[in-house]
Amino acid sequence: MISFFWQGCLHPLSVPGHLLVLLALGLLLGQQDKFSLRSSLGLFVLSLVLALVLTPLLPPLQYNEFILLLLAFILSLLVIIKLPLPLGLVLCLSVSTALLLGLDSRAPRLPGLAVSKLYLHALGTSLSASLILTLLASLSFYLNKLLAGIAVRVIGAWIAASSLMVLALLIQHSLPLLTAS
Amino acid sequence: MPNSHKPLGWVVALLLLTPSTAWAHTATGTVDGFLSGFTHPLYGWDHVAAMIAVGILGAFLGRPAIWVLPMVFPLVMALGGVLGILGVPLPGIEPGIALSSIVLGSLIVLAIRPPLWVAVILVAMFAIFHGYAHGAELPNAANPLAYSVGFVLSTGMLHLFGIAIGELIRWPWGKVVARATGGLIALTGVGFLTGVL
Repeated sequence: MISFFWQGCLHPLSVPGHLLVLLALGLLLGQQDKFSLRSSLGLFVLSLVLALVLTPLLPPLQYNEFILLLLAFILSLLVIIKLPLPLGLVLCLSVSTALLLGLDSRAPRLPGLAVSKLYLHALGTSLSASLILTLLASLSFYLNKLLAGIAVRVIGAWIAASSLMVLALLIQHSLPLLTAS
Repeated sequence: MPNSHKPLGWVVALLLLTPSTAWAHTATGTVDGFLSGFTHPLYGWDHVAAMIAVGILGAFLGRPAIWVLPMVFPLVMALGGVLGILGVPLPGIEPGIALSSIVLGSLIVLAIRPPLWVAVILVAMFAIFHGYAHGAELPNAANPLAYSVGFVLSTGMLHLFGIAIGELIRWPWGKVVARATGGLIALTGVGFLTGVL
């Protein structure tokens, strides 16, 4: 039982795409005011739990890596630009990220596996992802006060660069498939 | 002695029962990909020299160049990487990389302070060559995302190292050290361009 909870906790840390999106969102939330930050974190946790509960009932997500990287790229560009964003947009981005991460955090579906184990995995994932995001957003919030938030924007540029290159690689791999069909 | 293999048997049995191989994602290749990406820029002295030069130049020019240049470089480098991944032909990659060390190193050693827009254009132009070279390696990586995160992080740390050297100009002896480093970088570029290195 503990193994499933623990695997769930490690899940966001073991998938680079998930970690990259969490990092980008954390940096972005840290650039917002306290109200936006708190509301977004709360909504993120709720949406993540909802997505994780729904995941066993839904078919596997298609193009998950592509969507994750695209989201990481968009979030990191917003971090670099560092414009004050409307609350609605920040909440929308938090919910989208949470739903995407939740739906992509599928526990194994082995024959005869107890449903409780699936939900233990989901609990581990939601706890771990929420803690990581809270930690990153808090760090970003305080780093924004140092050197006019330069460090945060530079890390944003690194995320944008990484995600852009892997997006190009995914597109290049899918091009022959697209032209064949 | 007959029971000496008993604990090992239990361990094997437990490992077989562990369902870790059935997870949707695995960490296979993630660490390897990250490490190979992280070390990739460090193995090429032509890359290292140019990355450090970007940092020193940023510090030399002061704000906002100190953060604009290290932000422009990875972004444009990624665009160069995209060209490399897509296999778009780009001539003169290696001479371009060597030239980046010569030009940026010369600006530092001669204490030339170009306007920010000139510095940005120069750095962006050279970043294309560096990115192209890295991008061409990306499809071979065990985990491309981990590889790209590793090498972008490594590049950023080289910039920070350059900024640290550039910050030494606050002291008279530091100016000498920073400019001497610029000279060394320019010479490294000459070495690569002429094939000596």
